[in-house]
Amino acid sequence: MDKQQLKEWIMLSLYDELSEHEEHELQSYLQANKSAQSQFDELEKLHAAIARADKPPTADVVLVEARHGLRAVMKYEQQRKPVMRRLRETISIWRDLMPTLRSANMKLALTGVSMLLVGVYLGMSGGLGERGELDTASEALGASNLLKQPDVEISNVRFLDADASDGTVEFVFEAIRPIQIRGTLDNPDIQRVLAHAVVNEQNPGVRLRAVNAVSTSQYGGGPIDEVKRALVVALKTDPNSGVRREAFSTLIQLPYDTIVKDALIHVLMNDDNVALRIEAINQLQNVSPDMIRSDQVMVDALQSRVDNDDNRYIRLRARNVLEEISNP
Amino acid sequence: MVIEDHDLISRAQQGNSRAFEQLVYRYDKRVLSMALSFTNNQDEAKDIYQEVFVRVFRALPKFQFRSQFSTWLYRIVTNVCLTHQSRSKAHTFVGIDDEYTDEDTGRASETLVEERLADEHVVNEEITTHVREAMNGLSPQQRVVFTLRHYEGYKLREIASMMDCAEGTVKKYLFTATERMRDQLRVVYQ
Repeated sequence: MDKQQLKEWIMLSLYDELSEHEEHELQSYLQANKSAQSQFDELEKLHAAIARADKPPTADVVLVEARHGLRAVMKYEQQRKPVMRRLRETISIWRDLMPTLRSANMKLALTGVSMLLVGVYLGMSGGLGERGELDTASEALGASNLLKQPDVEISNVRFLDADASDGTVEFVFEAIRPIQIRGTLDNPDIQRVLAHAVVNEQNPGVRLRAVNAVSTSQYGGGPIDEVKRALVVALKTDPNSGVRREAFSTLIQLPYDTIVKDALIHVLMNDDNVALRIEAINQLQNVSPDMIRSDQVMVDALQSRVDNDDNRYIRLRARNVLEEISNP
Repeated sequence: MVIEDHDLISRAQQGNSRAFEQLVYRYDKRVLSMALSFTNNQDEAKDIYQEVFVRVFRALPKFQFRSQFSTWLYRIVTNVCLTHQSRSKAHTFVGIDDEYTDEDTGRASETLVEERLADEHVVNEEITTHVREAMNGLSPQQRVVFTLRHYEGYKLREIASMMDCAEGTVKKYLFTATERMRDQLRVVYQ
């Protein structure tokens, strides 16, 4: 074995990248060659030292913050969608919402703020390429009419082209108009606004009140999936622990389905709050063993708790559940 | 029932934001972990995390399932890490977070009852500092390969696939990185 090959094989051996045959050959060579063995020992020590260096921990709080930051950025990314597509979506939302607004008595029960993105796009490069299409889009959105309304607030003006030397400028702004809506909590539109508030409101107090409203409501047919998903998003990403806790409490009161299951598994696997994890594992009492047995993700999550959870009660409880489902 | 990546990607490609979100949640812990290993700085890791998923969002409509989604994703992660490091050449990786870590560690070690554990902890801290300093001396490519192999446990062929280069090139980066680390850390391990 030449010097270069020896060096390479020693490295590969320590990185566990040699085949069984090569490993055997290397070990035989090392046994017969002291100098080679000492090279191997030295590199082995280096690997041991590197292994002792702590890997930076991925704290849940960092993940939560990263997810929250991403959500904000993604909102902007989604605004970058082509104008015509956005226009179709906006029209569709308003078409759905209009009957509710007309039928509601407009007594104040809930004040929703509808964020209506009205961009004045002149020659926007990211969305559209043709001036005529842009003008049509602006007109169709009723930007001009909307701006004449007395209660519209303009904010967040972002210049895309502030150079007026060619007689045109280009910018995006938000026109915010308060909308009052009153309705019962089983109204899907009301729920949709609440779901939006749970996930997107800046103020944690408003988010918490939105979650509370969802949790105390009397549903005819249960909350729409959008609300449940909003609660799951809050549970996973909200930086405020009170909001997360309330979202979890609300979710576990709902009938068991994939969304609720997702929430339970998330808390079991990721939440650093022991009380919440205990609550999650206790909730499994309400789930039929057959359902758990047939769900490999849940079984894996439970096994992971048996193997890794710091809390003795959770380890025992997880083991009990696994035993129960393995002895029908 | 667990939704397969393929289904989630297809839905996300059709503009389903929930599918995209699920896809993010499926992989983001690993992405953040890789970014943290690479930068050793929480704020920078969060920047990388964000940039990765924005790139994924923009490029997903063009994803054609020719490779595993995870391979494609981690290729983006390595690219963003490499770009990130070349953008912030002047910056040092021993940052504010490290100072806090040291403070916390100091407090933690005071509470340790057994001296042996405390000693071990201090030694590990020292080694960690040396290793981080040594890693700062690596080129971006060497650093990425070293991080993926040592901290994330990927095999060389997987790293080659992520970096879109030959396995031999990855080996070269890794060997050179290991040699450099050996020179820098000799005082620590001998």
